[in-house]
Amino acid sequence: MGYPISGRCGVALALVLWGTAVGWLPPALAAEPVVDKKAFMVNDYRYEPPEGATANLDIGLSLCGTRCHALSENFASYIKPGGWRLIKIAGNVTIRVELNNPFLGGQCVCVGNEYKIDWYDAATYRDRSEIRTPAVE
Amino acid sequence: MTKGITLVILCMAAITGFSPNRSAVAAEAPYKRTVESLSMPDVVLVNQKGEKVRFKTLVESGKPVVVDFIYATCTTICPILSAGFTNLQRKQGVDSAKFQLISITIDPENDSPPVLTEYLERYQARPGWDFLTGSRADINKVMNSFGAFFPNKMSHRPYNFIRTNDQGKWVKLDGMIGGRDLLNEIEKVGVK
Amino acid sequence: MRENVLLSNRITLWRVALLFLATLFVQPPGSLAAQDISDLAPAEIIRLGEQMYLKGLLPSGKPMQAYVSGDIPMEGTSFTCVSCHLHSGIGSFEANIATPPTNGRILYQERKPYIKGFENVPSYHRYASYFPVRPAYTDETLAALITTGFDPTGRSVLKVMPRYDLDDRDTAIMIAYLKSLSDQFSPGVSENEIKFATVIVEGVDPAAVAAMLLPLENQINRKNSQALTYQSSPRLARMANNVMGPDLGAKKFSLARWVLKGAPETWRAQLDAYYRAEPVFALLGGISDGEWEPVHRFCEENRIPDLLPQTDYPVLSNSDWYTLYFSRGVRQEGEAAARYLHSMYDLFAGRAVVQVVRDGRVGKALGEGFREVWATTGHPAPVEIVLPEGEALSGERLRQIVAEHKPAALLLWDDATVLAALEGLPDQAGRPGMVIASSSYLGKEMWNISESLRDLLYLTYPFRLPQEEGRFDVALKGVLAGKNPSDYDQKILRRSYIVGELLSKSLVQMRGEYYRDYLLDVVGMMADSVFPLYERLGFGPGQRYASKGCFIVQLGKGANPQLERRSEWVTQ
Repeated sequence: MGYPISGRCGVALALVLWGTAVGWLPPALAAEPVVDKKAFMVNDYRYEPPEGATANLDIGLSLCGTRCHALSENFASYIKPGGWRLIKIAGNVTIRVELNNPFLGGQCVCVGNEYKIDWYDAATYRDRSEIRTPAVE
Repeated sequence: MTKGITLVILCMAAITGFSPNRSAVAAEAPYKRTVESLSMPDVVLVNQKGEKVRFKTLVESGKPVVVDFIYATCTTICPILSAGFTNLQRKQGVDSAKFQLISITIDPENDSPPVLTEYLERYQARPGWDFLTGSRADINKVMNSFGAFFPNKMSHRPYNFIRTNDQGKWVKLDGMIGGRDLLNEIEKVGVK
Repeated sequence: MRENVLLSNRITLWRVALLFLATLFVQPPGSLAAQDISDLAPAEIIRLGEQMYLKGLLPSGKPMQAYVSGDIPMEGTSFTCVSCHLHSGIGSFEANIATPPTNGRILYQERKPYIKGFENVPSYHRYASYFPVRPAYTDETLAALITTGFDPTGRSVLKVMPRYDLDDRDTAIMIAYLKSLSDQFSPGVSENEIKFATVIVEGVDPAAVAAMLLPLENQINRKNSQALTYQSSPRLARMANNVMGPDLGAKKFSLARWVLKGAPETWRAQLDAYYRAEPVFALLGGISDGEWEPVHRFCEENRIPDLLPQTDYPVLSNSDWYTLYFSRGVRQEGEAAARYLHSMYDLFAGRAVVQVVRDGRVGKALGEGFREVWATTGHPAPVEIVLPEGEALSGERLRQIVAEHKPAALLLWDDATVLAALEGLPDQAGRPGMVIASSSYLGKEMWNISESLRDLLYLTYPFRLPQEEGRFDVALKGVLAGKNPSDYDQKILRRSYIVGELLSKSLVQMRGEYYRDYLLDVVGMMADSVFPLYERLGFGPGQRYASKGCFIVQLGKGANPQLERRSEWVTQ
């Protein structure tokens, strides 16, 4: 059974919760631990085949897309739950990784932005305009 | 007499079309034409046959190219855009191979190659009209390069992009364009 | 004859305009209304009209002829009424295009720049302002709209709606159908209440049932408390009024539990009895360990929506309409594996793909999912080996399979007993480049995959990664208030939370049009959303399976490993 709501406070709370459910009020949030983590989000990538190799360049590029995007985090899944924000701390960051595919060698160059992950208390922080949304989700 | 006046008003209205600038009827307004410099991203997408397609290579093959952004289960906009492509291919007949039509899905989750194939069959597409899907990140990248990023498929716009002979220059048509108008626009970039 | 004129695809806009005028002023009034279709039984009229509306097929079975953008001839099967006006006929929104309602109830009323009784509700007011005013349609002016593309004010809709080449009789059938479409509010809705039910299959773990019920009942309780507020506090009621309007704001919800007992063959009679006793507007969620098909059929035949039941075996159909599922079930992992391998198949140099399938429902579903998607790629069919139920795969048998087929990729659709058999594989000569298994089938044992297997073994994982999912606990806290999260199955709880969210959002967007088909139409038009559990969740008009994605992952190194993505959410 759902939790009981009673009395005037109860009904007011219920309205707020229903309002939250339909998306017109920010969710009520509890304090969360401060984290010190960075998120990397890829904008571009390229494939660098093993030295001298000239075959499979298209498939290498395609697999590097998969490889780099798999490294990339999802912007929306940070900001949508509420309480988290991402502060861009570096642009055009290049990460070079092995393609790591059992059937093809070479490396992937993943280019993206780096974000500092920050927790804020949405209950006291209303100005959501400061949460910058990049063009790519 | 009153009936005669009504007739004239209705006739004028019917011929010119009212154009209140609202929503469904906004489509009655003429489409907007601009010329833009665009740089194509180097990503590998997948066509209706499941084949990998290097997007930049396909677009920059030297043929005139028309690009639109649609998805298979879309309601009003995509059927109209796709009817425009069907009409282009019909009107050009055997010459339709002179230009490349490219539809790019904005719903890659749902639009797998078999879904794309079924869609093209529904619109009686001929060779020279490819419907591309891919990873969401790559599709987003292509949308961004056209300045047509739609984070939500339900909020997309009726764009047609025509590649001109002028390097990197594209004609952008914004609006529910009629078959004849699209044909005229194609002819303007050199397809006869 | 009008239809003969329209057959010309070179017809110009002004000719159509004159034709429209002729329809209004030259044609004897009431000629269309007088078109006699009384030789057809009412049910047959509706069937034929529905065929035109949904499929674009004339009563003769031939495609309707449509002219798009005024001048492009297309078959009506490409331009069905339903594709824009949707199943309910209440219309659609897409970008800057709003398609107006086409149900008789609204068509035959004058359209004003406001909706009576809802003048002060912003969403209703905005909606009303999208469309120009017009007089009430009559049979004649409606026939003119369909066949010429001009409405009673002389306004052309030809840029967004085709005109259809219909003769008088077919037009009369279409109009009769539109009059029947979304005519009366659906059962389960009254002035003060909307009734819902949830289906629970007896035998499901009570803890799982509790996890399914908690968010739903929480949502119902919230709504009922809100409805109470609406009546008792004008100030707070104003807020609710702005979002929901006076009608939804004042309504209470109820959620009945329909418990199904015994064999699935007996469920239909039980469902019928529940429904007879208390008709509901829609089913919410629901849970079963196995079968769901009888509930699906019941909903289909009674035209009752079921929002997102929790089952691993949804009914797969391109045409069924009334049940929305979270995904295509466990088989979706097999499908994802096929797409992932397809992305690198050209590198296999002709080596085989082998799938080992445990005989049983889970293994078969995974194997089918892989096989069917793989078939669409045009690659040679995989080698298939079926393991009898109850007989663990031995290391020796696995070595033989690998030695015989030398596969590039090996799919193991088996439970965690398979992990022991894999231990020697990394050192075997000619071993596959990758082995793929299902995280759902392995269950919690996937966290115990030995270090030596972690480079070789890939897993299908159809959820957001656990280390990223924690952020969504914030959303769940409202549901769990005062309760211990570890008391509940998190996946079931999260799914049920999504049902509650979807319900509240769609009801607000329905603007008091309580038609079951419209509920499904509205869900279909909803933007893709970021919800707990699934990396991306969303329908689209006519889509039935919300999550289409699945990560391919590997287990990272160390004693407390995390899952590491090896793919994006969707690979094509």
